[in-house]
Amino acid sequence: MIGLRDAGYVVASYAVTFVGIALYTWNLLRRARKAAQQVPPEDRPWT
Amino acid sequence: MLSVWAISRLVAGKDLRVEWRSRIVTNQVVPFAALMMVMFAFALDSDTVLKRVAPGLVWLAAMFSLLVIVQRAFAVETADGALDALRVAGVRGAGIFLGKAMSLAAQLAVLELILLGAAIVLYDTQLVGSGVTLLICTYLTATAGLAFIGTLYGGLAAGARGRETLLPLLMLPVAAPVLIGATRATEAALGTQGATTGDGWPWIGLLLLFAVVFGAGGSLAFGSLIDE
Amino acid sequence: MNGSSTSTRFTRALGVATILGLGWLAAFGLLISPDDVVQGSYARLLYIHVPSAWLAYLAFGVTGLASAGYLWPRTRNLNWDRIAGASAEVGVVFMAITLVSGSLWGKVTWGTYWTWDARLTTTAFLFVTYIGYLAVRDLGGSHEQRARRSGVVALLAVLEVPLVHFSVKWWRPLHQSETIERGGLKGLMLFSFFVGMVTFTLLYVWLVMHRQRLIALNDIVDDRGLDRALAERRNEAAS
Repeated sequence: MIGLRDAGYVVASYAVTFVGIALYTWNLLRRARKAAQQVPPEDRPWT
Repeated sequence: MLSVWAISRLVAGKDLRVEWRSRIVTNQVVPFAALMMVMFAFALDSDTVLKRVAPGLVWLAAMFSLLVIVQRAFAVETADGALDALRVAGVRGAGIFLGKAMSLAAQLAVLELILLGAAIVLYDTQLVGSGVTLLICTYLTATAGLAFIGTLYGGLAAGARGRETLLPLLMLPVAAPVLIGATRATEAALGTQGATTGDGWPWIGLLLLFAVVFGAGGSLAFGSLIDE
Repeated sequence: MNGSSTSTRFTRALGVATILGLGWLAAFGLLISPDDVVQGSYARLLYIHVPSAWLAYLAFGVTGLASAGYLWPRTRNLNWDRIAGASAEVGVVFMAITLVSGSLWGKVTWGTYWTWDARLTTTAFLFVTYIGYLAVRDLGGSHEQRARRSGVVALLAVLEVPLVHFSVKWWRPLHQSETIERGGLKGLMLFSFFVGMVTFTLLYVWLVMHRQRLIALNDIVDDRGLDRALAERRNEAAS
């Protein structure tokens, strides 16, 4: 497994990266959902 | 239609005349800069350290003072909508940019000389004969670069409320190469830490490149930045 | 499909692929990867730190290109501006992640959280510069004004970055991080590294597509509000 000396740093690094991705993605999708509610599908430029 | 050069001379003249009459820079910014130099001494608390870092402190104080001078330079315009009036009249952006930059450079140059004097008095900085040319070149190129980015980002950050606070955030990262280059070249000119003038000239090259890049870039971009 | 989201079939497929890739990275990096004394931890951090940095740089590159795309008269289109803005926000997020994960990598590899080398310092400057870019986008005004202003700021940032990089490089030549032993990765480790690069690229595309659509939706809502206000004003004038 992970060498004891560096375990903390490796886990912290993965945590920061994955949690960061998760938080940003969740926040983005939430904002997007709110905005999409105000614009009907016919008016959206990509559909 | 007036040439870019003629416009810039007119704009620079106007700005300098406004400053001459109001004396804001001399009465407010210079004391601020001198105060900064004193406060650096409070913070650093060691004559040897101060003497060694004096070049850096001079340029730091210059950069922070620049923020104030730039905001002043554009506050003058936005108060009466003068900038908009110039643009509506069809005046070329590059002319306004160069004019304001020249005025800014002149004020900055005076400020920097005063700061150098303060360093000589407060930090025991000593000028070295062999380094004088390098020192002058440093001042000229660094001042030009700072004036260009000050005018550029000042134009962007001028106007509507809530924008002035944007100026430091936009300008200081861009000014970093000037801070590094001017400080290293000044250290070389003064012989700090055993640096020789030979170490300083490459930095002049960088400062010159910086000034050219932002002088040209600013001339092209300024017009569209101040169009509202 | 779903009435209230910015998803399409393509983004869902992309999303699934990305999640699979991220899952593999987590599993491999934290559990499966061989723990050899010389480069065990270093390699584990490599799987996510380098792709994260790559994503951030890619994002800023795209912002620069998209800004140029908008400012160039022949290709002027607000879609470029939206891509530029979306990409910049994603870039800032990943730059922050990169700086933190890189700082931890530095602690493991060199023993310090920070060092004043050209790459790291320029990265930090890039981060701050793009925060400024995002602030400029929020200055208000029409979409065209926003596009023009932020486009210019982005292009100036592109000019600034090499200048910062070289001045720091000359300033501290002794701290070259390129002198670090970079042993070659082999086999499954190399494979995972590539999985990381591909996954993060897919993640970038997915995030920018959603973010860009969000900007488009907000712009439409803004325009509608403006149209309504104008129509009301006209009615007032007519009556």
